[in-house]
Amino acid sequence: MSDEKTTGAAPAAPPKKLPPYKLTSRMTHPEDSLVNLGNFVIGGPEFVVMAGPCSVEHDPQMLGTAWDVKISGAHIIRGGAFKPRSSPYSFQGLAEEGLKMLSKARELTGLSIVTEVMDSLDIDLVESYADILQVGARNSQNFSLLKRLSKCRKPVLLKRGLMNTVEEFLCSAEYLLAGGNENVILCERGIRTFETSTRNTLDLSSVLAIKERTHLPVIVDPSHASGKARYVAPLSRAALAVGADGLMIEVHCSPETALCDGEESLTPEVFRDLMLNLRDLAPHFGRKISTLNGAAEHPKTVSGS
Amino acid sequence: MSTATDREAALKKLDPLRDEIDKIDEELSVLIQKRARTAIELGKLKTRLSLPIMDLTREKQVLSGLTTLVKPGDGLTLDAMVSVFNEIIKACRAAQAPTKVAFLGPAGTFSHAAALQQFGKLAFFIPCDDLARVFGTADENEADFAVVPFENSTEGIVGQTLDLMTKTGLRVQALLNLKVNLCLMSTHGDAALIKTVSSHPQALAQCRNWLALNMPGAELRPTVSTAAGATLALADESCAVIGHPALATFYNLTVMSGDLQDVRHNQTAFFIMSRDDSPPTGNDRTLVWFSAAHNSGSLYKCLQPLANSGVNLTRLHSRPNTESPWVYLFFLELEGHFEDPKVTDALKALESQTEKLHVMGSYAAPSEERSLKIQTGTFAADI
Repeated sequence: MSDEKTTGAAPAAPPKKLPPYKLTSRMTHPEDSLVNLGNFVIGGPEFVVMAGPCSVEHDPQMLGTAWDVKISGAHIIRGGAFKPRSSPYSFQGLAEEGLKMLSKARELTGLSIVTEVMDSLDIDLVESYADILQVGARNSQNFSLLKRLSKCRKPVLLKRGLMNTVEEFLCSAEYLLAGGNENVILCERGIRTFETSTRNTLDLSSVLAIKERTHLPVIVDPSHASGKARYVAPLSRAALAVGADGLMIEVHCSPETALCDGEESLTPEVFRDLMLNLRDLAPHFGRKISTLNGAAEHPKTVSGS
Repeated sequence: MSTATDREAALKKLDPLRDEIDKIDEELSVLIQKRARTAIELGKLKTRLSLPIMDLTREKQVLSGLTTLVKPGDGLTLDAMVSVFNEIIKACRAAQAPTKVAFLGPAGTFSHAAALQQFGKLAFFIPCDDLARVFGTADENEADFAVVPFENSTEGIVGQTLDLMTKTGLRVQALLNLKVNLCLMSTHGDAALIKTVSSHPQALAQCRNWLALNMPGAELRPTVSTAAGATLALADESCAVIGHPALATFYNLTVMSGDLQDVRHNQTAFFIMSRDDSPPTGNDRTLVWFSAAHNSGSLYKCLQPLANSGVNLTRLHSRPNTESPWVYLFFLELEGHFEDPKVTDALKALESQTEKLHVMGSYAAPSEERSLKIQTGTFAADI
């Protein structure tokens, strides 16, 4: 158990004793763990893409975007019904009404739903609609929420806190595993640094550090990290190259009217081109995007954005 | 020379023979009409006793009676006689019942059960081999109604029905929900003898767990319909069939177990189609389909006008267009009758956003709201 050999970072001497995140550590579970979602598995060869609007706004927006991302090859539809906003005066989300719209979108597209749960009080409600429960960056160290979620039967997508080190991040995951929920997906979404040219600093090297230390699957959210739609595609390709297991991308069918984070949302067309591009790149990194098997290149449209 | 006179003589014999045939036809016609009148009389009696007009066992008896009537050397073979009598029986059966209903046959399928539920035992049922023929029979006026499966609450949408809907001139008249009750049936009812279980793949899929628990060793044999499975079970006593309990009546089988389906609230929605529109009832749904190419937010642009006019969306399905990639057909069910001004306006707005829009018709909303996974939410227009 203690002679765990790590590849890559050669100078780092293998730790002799177990880290504080025992169950999360690769030392206790050397092989990659897989999160099975029925239609596909996160953590295996499939490069899993979760896409959708930042927040659920109304039926046409949710259904329109869900269908757009489904046709473009996304695996999971995302959308917030409870929104953790920095200001209490910003749009706070539609709560259960939004969850119902998400489940309509699932009915139309067959895609699974990932959506955020902010409060322990809402867990049962969100669990009854969602396929994956997301813990946002601001709740990443909300240990009472994590303890409650550890008793859930649905997988949990845990985002890295804005100010969390990799070790702190893995300790948060440990709360879920220690409580009995082994279906945990980690998500790197950028951390706070002195840099202001991007919204957050996407810590792509942390994917390597996390993969070295834990068996849990790791995905990357380039949308929140960069805050700029035009940075999303290059960062997505980088995430695939660096070995992430998937992506979480914001897509909005009409970004200019979005109620939340419109400036970082991709249009469905840009997202579709990115997905076709990732499908072609994936085999070079030992991955695949099987949802787009045999999909033709889309005829270039003469549209604005 | 002599051949010419022979021919003359033979030609002379032609007319009396023709006269005889005319006479026989006259007698036959009187007899067939007599048979029809008796059948109608029988039909009235059946109505009073609420027995089904379509009695397959009795019809089989009539046909098997022919075997004793046909003798070697007769002008017509048994097969020819059977097909003649089949037509007579069908015509007489039709005379007993005014309404003709096409469904995905053979007798005893779920479509038949749905048709029975909608039209009662007194309609004249026309079993068809495939869905295209169900639509075609009604399209070509040979049936007044077509009963087509549309959606199963666990297995999902019946894609072929949607595809055929884009090609038919028929209108949607009614939506019918049939609770699925799947039974295991065999000729004898002895579970120990069963080695194979045959049925339509969807029926087998709906009983996956039950089969794994109760018949772990049994071979599963998919058939084109539940009724085709019943024919297998009739021929082979080591074979059981899964299907609607109506199969047991039609095929003389014994029900071994009931309610096998893994999901308790499993139901199938059927559309009743005809050439006419149904009038508004005050609580209606309208079904339309439209095509749209996959451009940025194309579906969003189509749905937004509906939300603006305050029309509620109750179903939405999409089908790829097999002819051109990245072009899709959408099937949309919304609240209201297509004659309602609100719905008319909404559809007009929708039409302006689509390449092609077709209104399939309106029908009364199902009385007990279907237990769909979709929760009908209102458009949040106030945000």
